[in-house]
Amino acid sequence: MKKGLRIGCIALAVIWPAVSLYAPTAADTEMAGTTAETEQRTTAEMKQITVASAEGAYVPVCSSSGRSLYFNEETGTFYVEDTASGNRWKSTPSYDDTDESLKSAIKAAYDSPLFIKYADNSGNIYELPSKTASVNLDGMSWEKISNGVRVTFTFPKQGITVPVEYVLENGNLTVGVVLADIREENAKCRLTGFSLLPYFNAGVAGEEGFLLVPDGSGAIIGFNNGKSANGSYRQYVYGRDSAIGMTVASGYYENALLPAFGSSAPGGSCLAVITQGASRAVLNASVSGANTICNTVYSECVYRENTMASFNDKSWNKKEVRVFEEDPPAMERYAVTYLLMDGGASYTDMASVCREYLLVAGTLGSETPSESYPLYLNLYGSVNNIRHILGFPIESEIALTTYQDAIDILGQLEEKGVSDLVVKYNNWIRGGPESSIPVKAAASGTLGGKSNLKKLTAYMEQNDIAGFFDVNLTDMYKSRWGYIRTLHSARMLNQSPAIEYLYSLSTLQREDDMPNWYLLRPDKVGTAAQSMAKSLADAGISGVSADTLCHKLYSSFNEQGLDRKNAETVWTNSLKALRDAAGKMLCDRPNAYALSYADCIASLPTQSTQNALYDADIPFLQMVLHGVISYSMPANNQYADFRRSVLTALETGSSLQFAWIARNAEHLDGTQFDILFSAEYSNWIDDAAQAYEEIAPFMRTVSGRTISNHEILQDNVRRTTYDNGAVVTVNYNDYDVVVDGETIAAKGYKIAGA
Amino acid sequence: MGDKHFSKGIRTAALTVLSLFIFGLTTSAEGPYNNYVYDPYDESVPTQAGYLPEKLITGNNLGIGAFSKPSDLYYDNQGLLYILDSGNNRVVALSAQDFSLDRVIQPATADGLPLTFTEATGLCVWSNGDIYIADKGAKTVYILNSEGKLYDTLDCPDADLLTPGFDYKPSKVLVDSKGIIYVISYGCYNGALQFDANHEFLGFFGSESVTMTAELIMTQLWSRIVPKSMQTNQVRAVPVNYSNFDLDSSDMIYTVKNDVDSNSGQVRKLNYYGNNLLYYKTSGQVRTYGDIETYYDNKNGLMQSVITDIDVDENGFFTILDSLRNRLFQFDKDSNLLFIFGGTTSQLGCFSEASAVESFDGNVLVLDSRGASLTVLRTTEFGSLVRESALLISGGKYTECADLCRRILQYDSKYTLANIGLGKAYQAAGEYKTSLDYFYKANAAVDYSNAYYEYRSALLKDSFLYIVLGIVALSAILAVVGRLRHRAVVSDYDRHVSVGRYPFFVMRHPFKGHVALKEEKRGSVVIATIIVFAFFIVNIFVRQNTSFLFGGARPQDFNIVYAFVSTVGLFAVMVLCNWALATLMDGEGRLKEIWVSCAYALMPYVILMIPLTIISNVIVLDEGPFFYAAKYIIYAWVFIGILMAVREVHQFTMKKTILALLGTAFGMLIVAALYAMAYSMLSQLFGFMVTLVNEVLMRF
Repeated sequence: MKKGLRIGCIALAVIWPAVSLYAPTAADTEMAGTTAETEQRTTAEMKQITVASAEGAYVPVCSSSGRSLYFNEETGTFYVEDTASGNRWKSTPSYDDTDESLKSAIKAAYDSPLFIKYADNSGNIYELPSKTASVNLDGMSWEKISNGVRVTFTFPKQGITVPVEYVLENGNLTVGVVLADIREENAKCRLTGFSLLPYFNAGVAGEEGFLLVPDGSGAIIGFNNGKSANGSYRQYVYGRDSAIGMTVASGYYENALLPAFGSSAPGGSCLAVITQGASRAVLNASVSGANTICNTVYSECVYRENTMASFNDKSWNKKEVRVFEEDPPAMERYAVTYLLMDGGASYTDMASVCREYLLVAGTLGSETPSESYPLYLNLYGSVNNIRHILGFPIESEIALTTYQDAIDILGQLEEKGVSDLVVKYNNWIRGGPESSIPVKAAASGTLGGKSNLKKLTAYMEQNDIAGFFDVNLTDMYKSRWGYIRTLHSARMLNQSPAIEYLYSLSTLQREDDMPNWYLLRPDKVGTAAQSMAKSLADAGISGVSADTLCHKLYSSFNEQGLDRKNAETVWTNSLKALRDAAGKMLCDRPNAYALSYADCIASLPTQSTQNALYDADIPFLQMVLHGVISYSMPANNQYADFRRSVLTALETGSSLQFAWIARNAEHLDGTQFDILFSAEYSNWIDDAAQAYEEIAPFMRTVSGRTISNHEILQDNVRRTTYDNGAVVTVNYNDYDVVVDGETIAAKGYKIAGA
Repeated sequence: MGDKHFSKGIRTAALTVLSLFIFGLTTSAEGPYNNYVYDPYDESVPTQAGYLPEKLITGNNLGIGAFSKPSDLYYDNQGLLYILDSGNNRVVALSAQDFSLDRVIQPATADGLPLTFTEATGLCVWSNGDIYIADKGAKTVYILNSEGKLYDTLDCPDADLLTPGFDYKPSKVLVDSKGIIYVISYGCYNGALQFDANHEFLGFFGSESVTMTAELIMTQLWSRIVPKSMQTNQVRAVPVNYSNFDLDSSDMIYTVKNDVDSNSGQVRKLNYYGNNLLYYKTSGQVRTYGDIETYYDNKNGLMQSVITDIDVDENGFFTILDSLRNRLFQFDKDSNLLFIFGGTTSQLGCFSEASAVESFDGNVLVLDSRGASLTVLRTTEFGSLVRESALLISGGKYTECADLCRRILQYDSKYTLANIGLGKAYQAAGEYKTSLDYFYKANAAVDYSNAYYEYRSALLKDSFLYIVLGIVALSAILAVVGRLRHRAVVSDYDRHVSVGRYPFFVMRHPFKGHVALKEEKRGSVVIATIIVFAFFIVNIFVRQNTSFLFGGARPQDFNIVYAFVSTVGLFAVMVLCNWALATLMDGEGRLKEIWVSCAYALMPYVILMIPLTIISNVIVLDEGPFFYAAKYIIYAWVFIGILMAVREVHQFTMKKTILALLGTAFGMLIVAALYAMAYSMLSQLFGFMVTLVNEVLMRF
């Protein structure tokens, strides 16, 4: 256990109760106990004033599409009202001011539309609600702007000013902060982040409703589900910045791919989309419990990234210091749009609202795919491992699937009646996966050389198979001219090179004897992508994918113009360049910024991280994407129950996918590809063809259609309805179930209306 | 309880890690934890999930208010699952079918007053519905009827039956089918307390005797010399205490212990007399039941599994709980590790402080005392295939399990149990050659040896005639040739042996040969050097080609540098040391002579190890003694050769020769120490340079 982590833990343990006073959701908020107490006392003194502020203080500001924005000049809170339905979306939950069980600090937090986090000189981080630290100290001012208001919260003690804009447009609310207008006047207090509308449309105790979080495929958290003891939800949009070092690995996780979240309450629902600055956002959610009566989900903007770093002091003792990003992000604005829906919306409603919004915003391409149901293949070309030649250990590139093997596999599938194929080919470039940054599409001699690669691409062309060749433009396992590991890597916050490691399955510690890789500096990634794009056409490659650009987004800290937001721009430009050069692109588990370049999507997650707080995983992503873009689920041959994975494909409208190799499985031992322990294609090709044949006829009838409803009927029984009336009900249980008078066999399904 | 303390630290740390959402690589498609297992070489390898979390049960979900510090779980084998909800002073009964609420039992005294627990940690429900609750804090075991009314207690037995200073702290309780009650008293080293059905104290059960190891004897001797204050970190001379136990269907008691001294044999299966019946592969052999891979943490010391609960299910599969990382390990009844699952995060299927485990009908239930919840995990298809075939294999039904094993290998082509199962199936079908491949993959030496024996017998039987004919023909040829050659040699016994053939002469006549080597200068530096390099090559051959039945190292772990240093390097150092020493001891030998003589002494190894290595691949384990005997004869031969070489080269007496050899060995040790020092200094220098370069690079 690294010391940094331990100190972090101790700090966490100490401050946990303090944190829950203000924001029970912020799991990693560091706050010194003493300060928290002072703040609490201040709040108690101010209680008289709090009670005085009544609902009467709200004044109408503007209206749009039958909805009006009411603003409270005293607290900076607001609500939106729908004139027709009378639904209200409030920034502050209704609570009983006389309720003694609620701590006054919690009540103050409820009245705060903004929380800020700041760091003092010694690196401690505190979180403050606007009510106690700004409004009560006369720090708030406001002005009217077009379609809304601009509220400026000044935190006088900290010298921090954050202006927040509430804008009502087309009946939807957009809340934004112009980052350039943030002021930090006290050198001792540096702003590290702020949370917008931490209690917007929150569900209170006794209310029916749910929260939607975009974890993996999506998950819902029921209001008052009694699981507050299981902690709260906190997740970085697009995953954690990879240039933040980590010491210990955890197990399985899914990323938040879409910067969207929602809450559904009887008096009005909303789906929020982070429209600007999503790459610097963190999502938080929590349910009611001992300290709070609210169920809420909200976003937080990371203003200055920070982490603990260890240094050796003069006497070579390890010391822990918190290190910060020096400059604030170069982005213009952080903005969240709340798409408002009347009444208690279902997550299907949220998905369709989200889909329409993304289509209009251009995040999703609007081409409807043709009516087809392809089978996805994920082939692995080679692996780098030690080979023993005459007893000499020699690092070699070992073939797993040669170009000829790939042709054979495709041919065999065709013979078995599977001809609609999407093929992603990994590790096909010369040198193998653990090599230097590829700057041109060089065929690997081990896999059959240039002529065989040409043969493969020609075969794909002839048989109308969509082939995508993966390029890894971020991970430097080895150096090459212009891409030298120590020189051209991204920097971590302590200015050392950003390196990614493999972690032990059992001890979760770093595996020091396994290969590690340096992350290429974001601007160099752009250069590599341009150069790769140029050479794709020469190699006869007409489809490309760049896995790491789709799901790994990182900064190079404290270097001009290389923060995560800029990296996102580099990534999208690179994806565009690659796609333009090749013609089409496949994206693997893509973050939202990659979606508009995707012709098809592989490995779209079908489950969430499975936080114990959740009540159910739902195919939210799939509901957004079905009918807009073709996608597959994670490889079916990597599930511990193949049959259930086929049912998952049916439920989520996904294509089946198989991750395969053709030979040399024993050479995977001791490499990072040892997870391909079930990948020998000869073991699976019959099962694959059979499963495909079974579900393809139905899936073809619904391809190009949107999902109009998704229901969880009982434990492990789920139903998906498409807009053409086709319905599939799947039963994941080991026993038969009766649904609507019809028996569905164990691990079976029923199709109707197709 | 140092271990408890550090395990908490880890837990908090791990929780923090998750709450920060800092993640590693995706390792598999399913489950919130790493799905891995230990391969036959005790290295962790990824595999499919055997168990996946199904649902989370909280007090709130059941409608009875949140659990508070739930500490124990008991399945009564009759469809009810009991939770000891100690913080709320109640016992909650759930239906084991669908985990719905059956009833809440509020314990009450005989007068009907509510019974309050001090620190209740153990729960057992007997077949008649009586509820036994061990309360460590109240120092008693409550016996309640099925309605929760207290009707008896098991208090501390009379003092004269116990060792002085015995502190009665009942932490766990069990009742077997005959009504015999077993109580674990926290910190008690004598085993479990045993009470009869009338609640009379019978004595201690399963008291573990201290095994007399060499280390222990040394410790005891040492303790007489060294003052008490210095006697830390020594082997403990008292048996360890049990931390938990469970009963199987035939009243066998499975115990787990908190043994901080060793990481193996933590699980025992005791019969009525307290003898351990659980072994791994061969009788009497123990294995590591928790995580085999450990690491050393600067603050908390060695991070190894702390096993705090065990459960045996209806088929003899047992599941143990490692509270260090909140992991569960499931074994079949032959101690084969099947699955590892669980972890310390806030995900479903992971726990913040797992306190108890129960398993039945393919479910594993884990109680989380801090998370105040019960998690239900279910076997996956892969999991049930493995469990089914484990049952068939241990039942000897190899043919029936073949298809299951093939399906398992489809899910994980390296899964050990399936490779063994298929191997046995092929062996049973008489396809020995195929079975050998599977046993080899599973590194199953005994099974491989048995199959190989049958394979060889079959082969010999088929080709018996040819072999006999071959032997006859060969011996006829040898007889003729030998006769011719023998005559020639006899006729000219002292014939000048050529330089090229002299090494062979030295090998066959170490005494005479070395004398002549010195006196008649028949050695050749070139030939000697060739022999040393041949020694290196043969060493590689032996290492890479000895059958794995006889401790052959894994070919893929081979490192040529190490092989070179341990042969040529070692030999050179030996010669140098010997030369340096001999000059001090008035030896006559020059460096060149020592090199040549000692190299010639390696001849038996160079010539004979190759055929022996080949032979190792055609013999079975039972014939191992012959193999080892041959090997040691070769080693002895080489040693005698070197002895003679040193004696003759330096013209020493025997006594002086032995002294010189001992001195040489000592000199080699000094060289090794110097080398280690130089190495560490150089690597530090190198590290410093790397840091320096990095620092400079970072300026730009």
